[in-house]
Amino acid sequence: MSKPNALKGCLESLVSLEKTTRQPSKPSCGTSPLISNFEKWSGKPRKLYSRDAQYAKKLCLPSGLSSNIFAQLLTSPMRLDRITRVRAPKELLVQVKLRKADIEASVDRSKPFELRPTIRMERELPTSYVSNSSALVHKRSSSDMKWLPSSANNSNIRQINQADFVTQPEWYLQDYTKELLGSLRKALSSALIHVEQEPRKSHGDIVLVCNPRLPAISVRKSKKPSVVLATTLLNLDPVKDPEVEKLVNNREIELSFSEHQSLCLLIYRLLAFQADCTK
Amino acid sequence: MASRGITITTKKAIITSKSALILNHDKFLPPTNIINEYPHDDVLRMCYRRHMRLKPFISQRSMIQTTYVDYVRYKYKNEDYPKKCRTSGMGHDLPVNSVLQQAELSLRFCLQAVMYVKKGVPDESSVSREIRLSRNMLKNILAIEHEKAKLIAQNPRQNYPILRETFSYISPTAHKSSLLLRFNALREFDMCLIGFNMCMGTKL
Repeated sequence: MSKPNALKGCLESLVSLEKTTRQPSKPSCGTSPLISNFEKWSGKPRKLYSRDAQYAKKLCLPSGLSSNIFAQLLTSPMRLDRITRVRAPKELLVQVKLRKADIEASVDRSKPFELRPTIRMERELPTSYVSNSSALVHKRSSSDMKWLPSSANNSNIRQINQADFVTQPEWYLQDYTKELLGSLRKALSSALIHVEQEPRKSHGDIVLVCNPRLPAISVRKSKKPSVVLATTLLNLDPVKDPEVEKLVNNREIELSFSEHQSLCLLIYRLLAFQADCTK
Repeated sequence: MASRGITITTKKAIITSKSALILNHDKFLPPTNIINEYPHDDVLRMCYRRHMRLKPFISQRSMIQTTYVDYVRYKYKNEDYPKKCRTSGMGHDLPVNSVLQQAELSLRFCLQAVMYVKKGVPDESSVSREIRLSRNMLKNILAIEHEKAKLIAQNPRQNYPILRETFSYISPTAHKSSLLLRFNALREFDMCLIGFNMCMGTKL
């Protein structure tokens, strides 16, 4: 075939191709399902929407979570426990802070930093978390190097190594308990004054007792089942502190968690910490 | 809606820049008076199915969805919950809710965790707080379940009986054995969870 002929054939085939092109059929639906069912493809987190708070309240659990001590403990954000390497809510753990050592009081002057537990949750200073259990801390106290907050290791400003900070696991068992007990006494006596002065407004969902036969933390049937299903018993007997025992004085003290939140959490913390060493 | 950005409204949902808000809830809610109107096994099956329908609401990530599904399945099929309560030694003379009541309330807890209330309506702040709390709690429960599954996968022969069958990690004498002391974080979490269940009547 000569060159012009080949070109002609090529052109003809192109033209004929254009003639036989299939016409796309019109879709039967008005809008594409991509748009009408957009929630399937949006990739946004799904939620059940309610325009009415009463409707949502009716669906929810009958009693409120915000006034329950266990809910408060379980909803706190998860942190890694440095001892068991398991994550747990931070209210169930102890905060350990890396701070500047008190030079006068410290034993070893060459060590400018120290690791110390705090009883209140604070935001400042490098922090790590360890188990709230005296038995575990006592057992693993030799590996307390691992409790150093990781932010201290990554710092560019100052390298902190093993030789730079003091840890004394004894503080843990003595000072920490002492500090907890001190604030417990203070909070308990002020709460007792408050309870005695103020007439009962809300129901008590927490009962403080001092009974050697009961476990440290337990739940029992509520006296007013229409309001709350169960009351929480916090037994102060394992604390073995004469002053606290005198304050409780073999009574059953009813507290409402929403009013005495910090006191109840403090007692829980102390009981959980000592749960292992008393028996 | 107070949030900025485009809002697309379809027949079944309102999609904002942050979330897809589903309008029709019938598929997810338990029928009214479910316990008295249906046979025992059917109630359990209905609650189970509704739990599973909530799967895409729990999380976007498939790993968390799998954890949720495994958790619900374990709760319904394998777990001996009364034994777990007895081992923990938490309650004395508690009236125990029936299994069906527990199942319904647990479903309500999960529903509460995936709700969203319109901003600015009366009572919105208190209800939203409850929703946020239950959502955080469900997330923490799933995280702990994941930790348990991880521990079981590490050493099934040793850890499965401890965590799933005899529940010895939760017993009051667990601190005496150095093996069980390793599960201290799980123990405290589950003790609190049992206490929560006793107060609320759920079975989480």
